[in-house]
Amino acid sequence: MHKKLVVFLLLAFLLLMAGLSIRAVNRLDHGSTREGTATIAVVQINGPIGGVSSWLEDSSSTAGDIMEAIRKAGKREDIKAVVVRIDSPGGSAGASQEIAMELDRLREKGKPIVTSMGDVCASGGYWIACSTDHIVANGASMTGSIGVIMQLSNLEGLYGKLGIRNQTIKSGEHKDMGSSARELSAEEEKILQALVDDSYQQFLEQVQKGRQEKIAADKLLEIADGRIFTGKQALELGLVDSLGNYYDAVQQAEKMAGIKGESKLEVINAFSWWDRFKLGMLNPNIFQQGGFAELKY
Amino acid sequence: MTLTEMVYGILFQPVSTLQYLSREKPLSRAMLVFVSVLLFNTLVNQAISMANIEELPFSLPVNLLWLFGLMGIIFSILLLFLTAGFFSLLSEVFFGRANASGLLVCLGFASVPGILGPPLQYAAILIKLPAGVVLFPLISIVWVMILQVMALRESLELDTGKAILLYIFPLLLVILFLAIITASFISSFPFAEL
Repeated sequence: MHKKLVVFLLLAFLLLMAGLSIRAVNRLDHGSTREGTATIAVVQINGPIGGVSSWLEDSSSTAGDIMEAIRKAGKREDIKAVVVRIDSPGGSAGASQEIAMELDRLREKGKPIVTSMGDVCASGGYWIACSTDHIVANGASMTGSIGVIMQLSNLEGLYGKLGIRNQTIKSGEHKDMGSSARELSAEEEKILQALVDDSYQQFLEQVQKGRQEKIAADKLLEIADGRIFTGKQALELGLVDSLGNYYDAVQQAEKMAGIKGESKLEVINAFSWWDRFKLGMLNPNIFQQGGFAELKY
Repeated sequence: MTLTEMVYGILFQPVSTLQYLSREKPLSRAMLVFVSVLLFNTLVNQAISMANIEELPFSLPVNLLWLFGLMGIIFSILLLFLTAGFFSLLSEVFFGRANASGLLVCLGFASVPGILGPPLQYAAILIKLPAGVVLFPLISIVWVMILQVMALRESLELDTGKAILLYIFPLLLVILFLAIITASFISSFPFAEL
């Protein structure tokens, strides 16, 4: 009886400390050590933006997770503003558009959104930033890269050397357009160029919509050739609103939401340690799978 | 002996418990206890390492923290097997006595007090007791080391002196190795002749 009691007390202590540890790891994982009256949600967008996440990489670049986080921020009454922290060179066009659409919907609800640029916020990352109310960049942040790219590889020669013969049975002339087993025909090149042009036009419209009265349409056309800019250059061109770091972006969000004093910060799309542990164990997809021909911002 | 009795025994009646463990060799329970201690400490150590961070702007790469933690656990299990085999081999060479599986079980159970160090240290951090932050893990480490020496003594049926000698033998080897390296390094200096 005495032995059982001692072991029971020991176990109770260990369970208590395990609970406190889990709470601490979760709390810090969400960056919520700052205490304040109102909450500012931080949505992280890290790495290439896409639809699939892998085991070792942070899934904070997956459109689904980011959209869910934005929705959560919209539903929660205690969240008064959102800071979107972007450190991404861009990625899939569709995923960037999806995220930007969710941000537009959140802005319609009246919650101010501020972008904080990390090292890189280019292409698809900048597309997303254009759907926020204010963009804060570091002087040395890399941004811009307004343009669309589609890359295809023709491995016909390699297949020939390896003795691989691809056989294609298709329902229409262009069904295997972009196949690695053959050269693109002139007509197919035209079709794909039209696709890229249309997507580029959408990008221009997005920037014009997000940067209204901050950059003229003709000036935008001049610089929207895929080139990149530093945060400082981007400020001069009107692509960003101010220079500063993450905390300047938080302060801007506080100002726009009318929050007096310091706010509580919560990284809303951070996984808990258990989620990550579980995902890591159950979904060991180390390499991300992508389509052969993908439209990218 | 039930698992509860084994855990209680290793903490409060280590001699008789280690004698029982080295004789009965409950390997699966020893592994269960050893892995539980490692898993628990991995979790609490994460909380400790984060306790001094005032504010995190972004989430930590917890995936990688857990990955390193898991690698540490796997490495520790391998090390436990290697240690038991190595000490048993040394004992056989020097004293003519070997009991690798018994020693493995005893060393597994000897890790039990190690489960107290990190949570007590974390508790000391939470209640702001600076002395405890240093002392609690230190006490727990010394306790584990004493139990490891006792594990050698009981499982290999050595006296305390021989068990201590066996325990510090790898350390002595390292010191000897370092002394040889240092001596050869110093001897290569071009000293001025008087």
